[in-house]
Amino acid sequence: MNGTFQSLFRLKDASGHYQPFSLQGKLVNEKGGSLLLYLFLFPLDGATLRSVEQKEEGERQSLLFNQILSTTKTAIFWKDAQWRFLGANTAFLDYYGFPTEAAILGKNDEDMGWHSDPNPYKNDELRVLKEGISTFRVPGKCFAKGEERNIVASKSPLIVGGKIIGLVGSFEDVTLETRQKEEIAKLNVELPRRVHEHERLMATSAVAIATIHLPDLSLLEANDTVYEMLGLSRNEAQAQYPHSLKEFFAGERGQELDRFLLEARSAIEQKKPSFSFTFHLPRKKDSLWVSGAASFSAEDQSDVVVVYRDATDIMETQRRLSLAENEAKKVPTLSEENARLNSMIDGVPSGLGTLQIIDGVPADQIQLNQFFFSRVDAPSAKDGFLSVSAFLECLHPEDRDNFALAYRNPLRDKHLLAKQFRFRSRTNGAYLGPASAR
Amino acid sequence: METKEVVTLQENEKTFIEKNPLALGLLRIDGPRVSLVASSKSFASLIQGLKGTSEEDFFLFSMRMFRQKISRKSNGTTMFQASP
Repeated sequence: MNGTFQSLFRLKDASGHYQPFSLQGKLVNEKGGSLLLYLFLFPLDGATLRSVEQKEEGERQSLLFNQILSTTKTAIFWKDAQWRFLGANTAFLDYYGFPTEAAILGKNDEDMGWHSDPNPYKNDELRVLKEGISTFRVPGKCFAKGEERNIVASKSPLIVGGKIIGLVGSFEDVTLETRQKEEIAKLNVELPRRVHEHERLMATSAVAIATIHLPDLSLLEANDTVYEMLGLSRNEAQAQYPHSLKEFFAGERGQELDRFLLEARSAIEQKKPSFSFTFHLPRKKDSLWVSGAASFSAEDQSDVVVVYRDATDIMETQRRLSLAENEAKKVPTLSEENARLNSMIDGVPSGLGTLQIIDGVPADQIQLNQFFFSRVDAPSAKDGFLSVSAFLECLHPEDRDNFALAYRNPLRDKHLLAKQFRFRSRTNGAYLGPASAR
Repeated sequence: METKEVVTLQENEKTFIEKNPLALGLLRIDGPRVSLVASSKSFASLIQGLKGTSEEDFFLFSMRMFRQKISRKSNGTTMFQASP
């Protein structure tokens, strides 16, 4: 055993006085498993006791100091009068990633390459060393573990016997705080601009913009266009439906709100950031179709920002287009019907013609059957259609005015049942007839 | 502190202690038992001069004073910590 120890204590002697003793001991392992404790006990006089106590106190202070240095999170270092490192604590070495002090001893900041511009730090420390001033939380930057960091450093001269023999300094990493401050400063500049842009957008936009809190369907914010589309002033709307979509969409209107909520729920389930919607917006006397998009708020996912516009014109156009498409689908059917009728008309053994009248206006073409063309001297016509002017040429000149009159007033003359006209013969140019026209 | 040193107490060591003019003492610690192996006259005189202090009491007292913690590790070494 080479465990040795020494301690001072006082023991009461036979006279009742306490006498100081020093006890030194050494503990060793004895063969057989026991321990031998060698003791040296001797009384101390007052001077020796004070000396030993001072030494012990010094050792205790040194131990305490070293413990404080090694446990504090503040990086502490000390330098000589030539700006060179004499030592540093554990926090300092950990900050820069050094296992021991050996990496820094005898070197200055320039040797370590910690600063992109070491001069401000050197000048700062030289002032401490030459003028004896202290600095407190001076901001700066340094490279640590491959990254430039923000620090604040405090330095004081180390004075022994009235002479500055070096300096002791400490620093704290404030990178996070600095970045947060920079971010806050940037946001402080950005915020008014964004608020202004937001207000301008809300005030001048031709589209309706609103923020809805989904859990209670309250209207958090809305621009004037929202109320204009409702046909109400802002005050009227807020008085009748105080920020509540439930109240506005009460009763039969509720199904429109349900459609919107269905879209919102679907987007939430599919984790979509936004969704589009179209619904019928009821108004006091009429209604509008509105169409737009909704985005979940970045700050609160239960808030949704909706942007929409009046889509009534679009919806009406779509409706008409849909009707037109349906009519277009009927075209082949009509063509087939027309062919069947043509076939029937052509099979009739007498001249037969049809005039189409749309909205009371007669067409400028007359459709005639094969029998007509086989008997009457008429120009060739595609699909049996002959212009009214060509048809007139086929008539006896004296009958043309009567026909023109009858053509212009086919519906006005309710008593008109039949008219008789003479046609020019295909075989000899003579006029046939009279033939009747109905 | 850690040691693997193992000694065998020699008779001449006890003699050296007993004949020494300084206050020397040698204790054997065997588990919870503490016994005096040898002591010089001065040591014995000091011990006996302490009012109401038997030898064993003193040993125990000294042990408490140093607040020793003696533990035996599995590899046979002895750990000794003194924190006065």
